[in-house]
Amino acid sequence: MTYLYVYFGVGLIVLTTVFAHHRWILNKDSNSKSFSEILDATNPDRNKLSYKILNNYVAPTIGSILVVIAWPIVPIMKYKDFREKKKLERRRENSIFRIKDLDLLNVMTLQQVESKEIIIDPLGAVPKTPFGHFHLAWEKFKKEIEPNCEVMNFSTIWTNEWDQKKIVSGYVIVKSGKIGKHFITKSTKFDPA
Amino acid sequence: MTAQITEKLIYEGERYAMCTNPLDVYLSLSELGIEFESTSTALWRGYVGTWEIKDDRLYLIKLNGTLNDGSEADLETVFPGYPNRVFAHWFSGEVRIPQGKILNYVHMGYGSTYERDLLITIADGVVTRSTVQENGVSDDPAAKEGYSIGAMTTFGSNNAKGISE
Repeated sequence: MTYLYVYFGVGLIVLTTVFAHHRWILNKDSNSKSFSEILDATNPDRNKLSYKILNNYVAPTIGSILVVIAWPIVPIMKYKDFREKKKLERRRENSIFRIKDLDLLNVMTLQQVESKEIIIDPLGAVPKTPFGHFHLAWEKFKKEIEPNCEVMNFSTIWTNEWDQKKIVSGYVIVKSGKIGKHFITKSTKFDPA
Repeated sequence: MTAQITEKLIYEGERYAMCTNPLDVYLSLSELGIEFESTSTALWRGYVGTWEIKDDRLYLIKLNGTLNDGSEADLETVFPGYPNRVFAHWFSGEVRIPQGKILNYVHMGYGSTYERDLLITIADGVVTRSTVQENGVSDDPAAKEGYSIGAMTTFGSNNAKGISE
């Protein structure tokens, strides 16, 4: 019998810890209120009394009883959750767009780039300037080029956060062999076929 | 996620629903910092563009949307000096135009399947190829013809510019 009391006692401690952690996360995350408002907007049933009773009282009570009874599952779930978060963080880190040395193609002068990137439209629906509607972004990029830098074009296959492969190309500033700021001009879906 | 309101395309004199968002590519690459506000669960991108393929070139000819600051946006807002027509030179990829009866409704993105897809391949804003992909034949005589959305929720009463247009 004593073992049972100890078991449920630990269960209560786990429940208190889980509850405190949940409250702490809710208070810390300022977005949770607006997220809750979006959920309310997408599902009007959330404002019904029956839903509120189920969501605010019945479900937490059943959950609490289950935690006290089956508390050893909680740390296992928390550990799995922790591992998933770490995996997601790693995926995000790996998906940050980076240009590697192998992606670099040719050194180009600004004159070469600008004459190559003039876009002409018979209906005049694009500025007659390098990079057309991207001209302002190009001018901003140009301001980053220091006298001792080189401009190179690049093309790379990039896998984004959602595991989609894209062919990304553009121009990059290279200073003493070090890859600096880039200017992307094209991003298209990668089709291996 | 909810099925999304499509872009509009005028192609060979006909108006179509277009399940591709070429302007998204421009907004992400242009570094202008223009951000649209989601006005509905069926319009997370916050705008609806009207496109035209003329002489094998893709143009954006109309834009309705609401910016993050609540102001209304049109073509001139995103492309100053070009209020009527913008050549989409930034876009390379496939434009999908669903046609025929619905085969399978998916309440997410542009996920629904239709009897046919007209696929127009575009390179730097210029049409390079167009093909029709047959996806099957609907066995439901009452099935709807053309693109449709099952349900949506609109945020706020005054901010559904893209939808109302």
